[in-house]
Order: sequence, then C-alpha cells, then structure tokens
Amino acid sequence: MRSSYQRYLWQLLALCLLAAAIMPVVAWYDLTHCQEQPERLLMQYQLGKIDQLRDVDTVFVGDSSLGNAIDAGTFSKLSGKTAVNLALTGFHGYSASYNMIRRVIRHGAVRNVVVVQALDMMTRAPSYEGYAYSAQVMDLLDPRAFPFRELPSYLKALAGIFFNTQSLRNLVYFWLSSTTTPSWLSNDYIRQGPVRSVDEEKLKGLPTARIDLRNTWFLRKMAAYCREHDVNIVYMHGPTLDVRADLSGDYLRRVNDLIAQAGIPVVQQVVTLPLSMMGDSPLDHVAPENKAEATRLFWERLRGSLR
Amino acid sequence: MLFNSFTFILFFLPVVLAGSFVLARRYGATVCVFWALACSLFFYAWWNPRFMLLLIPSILFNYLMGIAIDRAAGRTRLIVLWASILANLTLLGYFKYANFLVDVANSTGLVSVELARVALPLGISFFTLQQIAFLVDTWKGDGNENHLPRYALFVCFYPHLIAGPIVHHKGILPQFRKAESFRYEPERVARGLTWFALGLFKKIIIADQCSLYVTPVFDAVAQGAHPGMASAWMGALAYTFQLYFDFSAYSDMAIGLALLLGINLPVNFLSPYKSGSIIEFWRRWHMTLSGYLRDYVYIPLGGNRKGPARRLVNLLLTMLIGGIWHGAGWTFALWGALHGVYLLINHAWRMLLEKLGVADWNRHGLYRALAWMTTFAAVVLGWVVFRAPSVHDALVIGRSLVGLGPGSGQLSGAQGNEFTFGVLGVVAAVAFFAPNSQELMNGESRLSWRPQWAWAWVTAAMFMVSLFSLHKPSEFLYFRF
Repeated sequence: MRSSYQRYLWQLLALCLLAAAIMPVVAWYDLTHCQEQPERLLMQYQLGKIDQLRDVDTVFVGDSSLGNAIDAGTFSKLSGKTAVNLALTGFHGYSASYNMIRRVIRHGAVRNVVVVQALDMMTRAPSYEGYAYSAQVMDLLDPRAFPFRELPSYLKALAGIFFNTQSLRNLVYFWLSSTTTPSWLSNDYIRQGPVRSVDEEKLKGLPTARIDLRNTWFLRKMAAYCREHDVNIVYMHGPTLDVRADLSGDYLRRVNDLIAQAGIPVVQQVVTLPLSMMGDSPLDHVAPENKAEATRLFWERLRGSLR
Repeated sequence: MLFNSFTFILFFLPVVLAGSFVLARRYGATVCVFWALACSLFFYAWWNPRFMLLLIPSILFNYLMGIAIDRAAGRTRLIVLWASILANLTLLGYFKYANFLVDVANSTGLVSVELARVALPLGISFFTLQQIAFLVDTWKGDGNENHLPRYALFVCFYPHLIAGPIVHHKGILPQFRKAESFRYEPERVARGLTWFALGLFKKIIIADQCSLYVTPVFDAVAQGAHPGMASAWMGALAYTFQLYFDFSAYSDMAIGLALLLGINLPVNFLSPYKSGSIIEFWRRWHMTLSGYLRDYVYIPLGGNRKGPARRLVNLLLTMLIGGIWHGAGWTFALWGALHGVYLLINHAWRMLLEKLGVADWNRHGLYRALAWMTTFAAVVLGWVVFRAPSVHDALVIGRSLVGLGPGSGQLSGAQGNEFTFGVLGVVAAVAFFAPNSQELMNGESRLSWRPQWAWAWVTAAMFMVSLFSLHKPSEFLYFRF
C-alpha cells in the first residue's frame, strides 16, 4: 500500500514538472504569434522601426504621453534632422525605456535620446513586466539589470509572463477567434479611445511623498549606457494638464533633482496644456488634432539640449 | 504570507516539510514541535512582525493562567478563570471593537472621543477563542498542558492560525505528542497535497472568479446606486458562492497542510448549500465555529435545559454573539440576529409539524425541494447583510432582490448578462450537486480519492492551473474576521 502512495507522489511530481516545462513554450508562442492586444502590436511596431533605422539624430523613448504628443515627422521638419518616436505605454515604465535605448544604440548610430514620460511616472512602481516584455533575450538573464533586493519582484514578473494560464487562454482565443483585429494604429501610435473622466484626486497635484525612489535605478542605467556610448541623453516630462502641473510644484522640483542626480539633464520647462487640448486621458494625452502643436512646443523647449 | 502565494508554495512550505521530516527521523516529535513553532511564528511575523508583540504575550498569559487555574482550588479557581477570560475579551474587544464603539458613541453627539485607528492583528479572533476554550476546559478539569512549546504550537500552528478551522486543544495537543507525527508518511503527504490542491483550485479558479461579479454591485450600491433585480441577484449569488468557496478552500488547504505534517484538523464544511433547513445549515457551515458557540456560549447560557422560551432566547443570543464575533459593525450584528430569528422560526416550524403529526413531511421530495429553496434564499439574504458596507446598503440590495428597488437594468461595471449567470450557474451546480472535499477525500464512492493515475492527473491539473493563475494573490475573506 505504501508503494502505491509513493508512486502517486512520483506521478504527481512528474506531471507538475511536465506542465512547468510546457507552459513557458506556450507563453513564448503566445508572445510571438498571438498579436491581438494593442500593447503587443505597439511593441512589434516600434521594434520594426528600430530594424529600419540606419543613422538617426534623435530618438524619443517613453510612454503614451510621448506617443500622443510628438509627431516624429513634424519634429524632423522643425529640427531639420531625423527623428524617430519609439513610445511604448505607461505599463512599460522606465525599465522598458532603458531596454529601448539599448536596442537602438546596439542597432546603429544615434546622437540624441530624449526620454519623455508622464509627470507621475516617478510615483509608479518599477515595471519588471515592462522590462521583460521589451528586453532582448540575453538581457532577460542580465543579473546586473536590477538591484539584488528587487530580484524576487523580477522573478515574479517573469513567472507572471512565462507561467501564466493567460497565455493558454490567449492561444485558445486567438485560434478560435474569427474576427480580425480592428485598426489599432492612428497617427503613429495607439488610436485614442473615448475621453475618460478625470479622478478628482488626481487634480490635487502630485505629492512628493509618493515618489518611488526605486525608479532612479533605471534612470542611472540609461545615463550610464548613453555616456558609455557617447550618446546625448535628455529627460523631458510628458505634456501635462495645466491644473495638475500648477499644483505639483514641489513634486516637480524634487523629481527633477532626482533625475539630474541620476545623470540625465532635465528640460525644466514642462509642456502644460489646457483641458481643451487634451485627448482621451485628459491628464497627459494630447488630443490627436493638437499633436503637431504639442510637437512644436516640445521642439522649442528641447532645441538647446540636442546635439 | 498567503497560502495562495508563490512565496508560500515554492519556498516556505518545502522548507517547513523538509525540516520537519529530517528532524522527525533523527530527533522525534518534541524537536519537531520546536521547529513547527518557529516556522509558525515566522509565518505570522511575515505579515507584520509587530503583531508578535500581541500573539506571544497572549500565549504566555493564557499558558500561565491555565497552570494557575489547574493549581487553584475552590472559589479562587473560578475567579482566576473569569479574570483570564475577561483579559482575553478585553484584548479582543480593544483591537476589534474599540474604533466601532467610539464611532457609535461619537455619532450620538453626547460625547466626542478621539481614538487612533487600531489595526486588527491577524487571527486574533481565532486564537483568542481557542485559548478561552482551553481555559474553560482546564477549569472543568478537562484540559491541561504543561509543555509551553506544545501549547504555543496549539495556538499558532500555521495551517489554522489566521482563519481557522477553530481547533480544540483536546483534538490537537495529543497529536503533537505522538512519535509518528511530523514524520514523512507517503499516504499523509499524498492526501495532504491533494487536499491542498483542491483548496487552491477552489480559491483561485472559483472563488476569485466569483469575486469579479461581487465588487461592482456592492461598491456601486455603496456609492449610492440602486441596482436592478438582475444585478442585485448577480451580486448576491456571486457573493454567496465566493464566500463558500473562499472559506472552504482555506479550510481544505489548512487540512492539507496540517496533514502533510501528520496532524489532523477538523472538517469545517460539509456542503452547506445542500441544507434543507437553517438548523442543518449551521451543522454544515463553519462547523468548528458552530461547535464552539454551542459548547462555550449556548450550553453555558443554559442551552435547552431551562424551558422552550429560554432556549429560544439562548439561541438568539448565541447567534448574535456569533455575528458580532465576525466583525465590528451593525451589519454583522444584524446578520447574527437574522440567523437567530431563522433558527427560532425553524424550531417553531418543527414543533408545529410535530404537533400536527406531520413531521414525516420531510420525506416528500416536493417538501424537501421547497425547504431547500427557502433555506438557500434565507442564507443568500443573510449574506447580503453580511457583505453590505452598511445596513442601509443591505436594505437597498434586499429591496432590489424582490423587485422593489427603484433601479432597473444594469449597473455600470456590473454585467448582469447571460455569461455572468452562466458562470454562476456552473459554480452553483458544483456547490449543489458535486461531492464536497470531505466526501472526495475520505468517501467510499467511485469518485473518491485513491492513489491512482487518474487522481494524480486531476490533482496535478488543479495544482498547476491554480499555480499559473495566482500572479496577483488575493486575500481570503475570513482573514478579516
């Protein structure tokens, strides 16, 4: 009888190990083949741009505040030099910006990197999922990419990607779904949705107490990488609703200090816009019809900082 | 550290088991008690080490009081007992009810008391009850433990520490003394892992899925919305099943985890939603609490020994105390009182049937079906009161359930659609018709667990699907009580 229980335990172990071995394969297939969600399509779209790059003057990396604000074509015309916008989303965070910078620099010559993130990005926790989704394979295994104490969070994020039944659901949905993905791209970024209402809390301004200092790790990494490869790096906050920016003075000063201490020069003047110029996310998304104007405002503030 | 977290499953549990099996083989049960105690304290401290400042003194105090009661004689014995019970209740009262009582006092406008928010230490309701039972039984001459580590482990053994089952010292302490406890036994490990996988699956795949339909309805009502009938039923039913699968999942996991170390914990649920009466419901729902309330509240109040009228009062009081034990709020008191009234009606109905000479009606299928439906509806209504943020919100949902609410159609964010009811239908079918964990694990039917390939597949599938779905572990509902 004892042996039947023993055998049961071995069977259980074998089946669990088998499932653990199959799941990352399923996840990998899902990640590389099931392109349904706009965030994944966006990632592929921006990586496609990097593949096309030869020699570029200015590369923008950042989140949706960048994606909705800067039109690379307009910026190129204004500056007289080539520019590419590689905006991802807020979910990807600073860690993905770091990866995008590494991808671009590894690919070819670039003179300026401009990091543009929403004003509140420093209040968000570092995105280790964002790192994993944007990393090249070898970077996934780079132990120096994180402070040691953050390793459990990173491993958790990796497990969330490669050991997740969501991959299986995506795969089934992808195979069964007969509908084609609606056009997600508009104006070189994810198409804007209906205007979302603004949470009253968020209009009160950003408190310095909410700054997550762990974010400075990736800012330091970006600065060091660009310095190592002789690339000029500049930080600029994304366009911000004027009311919010006005009430976030202390926060802005503190964040600018932290970014500068990390080794990235900061363009002090924020592009602030009235509600009438904002889009689906009124705090930091410029409405599509105002993208050219926002690009001009960015160019005016950035021109002195670019090579 | 939650049972449904990677930290627990992949790091804590393997270390605890490996340590226990090695130590048991080399040094025996006594050393393992120390090991299990250290692991349990670590498990508790993981949430907030400051809570240890309450747990450890509570254990030491009650251990010493147990000795004092045991050694005292005559009237002193009773005085020491009451003093120690009062101390335990004061501690529980302060941490659990102080803020509520201050709020109530302030709301009368007669006084203005300021009290900082008191954080509720995890598991305080459970370990306080268990220790009071220990003291009472020691006073009766029915319980004694002079080995402090063993007593401490009885109180804070990690499988039951946070959310039960409420264990009785007579059931647990003798097991800690047995030489074969804590040893590696393939049967116990096989059974324990299967219990654990079953619980994990119920929590992650069923209870957490139900919670998606609960929050939008109750939150919307808290913000002033009035749900339509369909939304109200969706929220109420989803919560009914969420609570059952969540709490019984915790109990299954606790039973499994204890069994891995060779310790048997009591069963806490026996398909309560199959009950044909409220009396039966309380014999199947949170059985260790029901047993506790019976033995340490209802019977000491006089039980049924002082006439039918007093029996009804005792029942009502017991259920009210049971309700208040769950939390500081009018809704919990109302829920307890409601169940007290249910029980009164149930007993009165039984007496009436007996008087009319038709007590055998319950053999008829139609009667049983009606009784089951009435019981289930009453339980659902009770859970609405239990879950609602306020009595007013409970009344709003209650009115909507019977079609008297002003709202109609759906709430934003709450899908009262066919898909949701389809999911709830499947979950309901499991709750109403499937064998419960106890029947599966210890039953004799064809479906019952056996150490065979088919069960290995089922267990592995349940475990791995749950494991791959727990990237954002959610707390168990009973952690709040």
